Amino acid sequence: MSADKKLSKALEQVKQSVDDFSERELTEELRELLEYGVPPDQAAETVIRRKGRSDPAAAAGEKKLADAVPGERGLTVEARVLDRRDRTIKVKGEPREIVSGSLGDETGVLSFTSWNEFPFEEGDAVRISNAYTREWNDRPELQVGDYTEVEEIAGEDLPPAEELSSPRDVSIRDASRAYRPRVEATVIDVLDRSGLVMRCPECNRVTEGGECSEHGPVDAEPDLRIKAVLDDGDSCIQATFPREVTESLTGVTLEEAEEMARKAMDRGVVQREMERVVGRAVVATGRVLGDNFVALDVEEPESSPEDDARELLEALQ
Amino acid sequence: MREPARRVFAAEYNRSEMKVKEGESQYAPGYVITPTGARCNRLFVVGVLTEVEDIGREDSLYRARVSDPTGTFLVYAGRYQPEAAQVLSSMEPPEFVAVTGKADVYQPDDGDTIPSIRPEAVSTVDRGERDRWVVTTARRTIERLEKLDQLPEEVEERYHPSLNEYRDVVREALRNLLGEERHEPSVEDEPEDGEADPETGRADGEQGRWREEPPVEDVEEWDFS
Repeated sequence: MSADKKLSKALEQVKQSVDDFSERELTEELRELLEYGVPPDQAAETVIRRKGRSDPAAAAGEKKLADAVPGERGLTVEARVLDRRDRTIKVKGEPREIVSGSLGDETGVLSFTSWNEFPFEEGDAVRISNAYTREWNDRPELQVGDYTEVEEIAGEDLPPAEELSSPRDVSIRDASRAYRPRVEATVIDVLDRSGLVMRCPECNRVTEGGECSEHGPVDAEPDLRIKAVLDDGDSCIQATFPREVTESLTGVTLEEAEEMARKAMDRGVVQREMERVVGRAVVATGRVLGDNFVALDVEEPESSPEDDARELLEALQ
Repeated sequence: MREPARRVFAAEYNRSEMKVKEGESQYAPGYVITPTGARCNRLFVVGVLTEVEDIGREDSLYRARVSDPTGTFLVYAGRYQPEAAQVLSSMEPPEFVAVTGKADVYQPDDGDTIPSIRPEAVSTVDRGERDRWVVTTARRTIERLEKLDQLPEEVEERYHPSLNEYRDVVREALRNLLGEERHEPSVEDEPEDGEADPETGRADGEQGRWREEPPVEDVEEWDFS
């Protein structure tokens, strides 16, 4: 059976069970399954099952970013591109160019992936119509697919990009909803593999015994970092403090850490030195990637405990 | 999902006598439920380390006492907490310490309950961090007090927590931080002495105001498996 025949056969089968969907949309989904070699009748069943699960009338329509949930289709948003990066991934062994990044509006931030050209830059205001969402790390992620339309708009109603990407004070619980979350919390634990680590010069991965999991034996370069747990008594998140943040928090530079390790002939002394930050209250500004908070800046809390205590006491009278 | 570390004052934590398990499996997380309803799998406390003692028989078992302005936490580090045990054993009380650990309630045969902490991380800190902990713990406690009427039935029945009693605990902790505890009018005392001296009031008052810790006997028999 030719590819076209398979497609029309599957489409006929789907159309008998499903209505309210554009033929274009059904064809797209079927074509994808057939390209993977799924037999036509199974492809049809899969699409029927998918459509049956989602309420066909419930195309998401226009929403603010904070209201987007996983598993939506027909979603329209107006937002600013806060960042974008081009990546090449492998689909069925073939390299494919995709674009991923973040969108922002006054309500929040949403990651996106575009499977097609995305000729927009950071700061551009765009209207994205007929997109869909997937779940990624417990968060919705907007997908720009074949039938999604993206157009540049004036964006007079959207806050400027600098405002959208500036730090926002949030609780740890809501950190993944902000583009640049700033949380007040305590370092309650320092995890293993903190301190002096060696990195692959090619890909920056941490090496084990001079070997990179991707590039084999390499001339690894030293780096200083802390993997910590930030906790505010209500929620917690794993955090990574890169070298500059670690140096300012501990007062130990990379060079000093190397010297400590050399003298002791043990990198463990640096790990134990890092563990001394347990108990420190911090205001950390960063970025949530997956389930990890990458701290870009860590400061002491500005408020004085005495003032806070007085305020609380007054409220209690 | 990692369990957050709850903030509870010692006076409240030491009155905990409920431990619940979520699920049947051996690895299901356990929670100590405090009188105001904090569900503690993990705790974070900052206070003054006043004593460290090796009370083990064959293996070392360190018992540490960590005082906050309202009472004393008991911290036990044995062979399953080697790093914390090592840090504790090298400390010289009194010192300000931060302890992150698992909440536990031990029930000896006499029906008593002894809440304790099995430490995961221990570190020395300064007075500023201790003060910040008191403020955060006061905030978290006040949040729980605001929802006291929504306590699960079994928690309410077990503790019958009094709003005023735990407000007093919070006040006591905050006044201690501010060095005002000497001037707190008590029922028997004359109402006000009016001569506040926060400069000297603090350090002395801290020691004086600590409550007796709960009685602990036969702790050598503890089973940490």
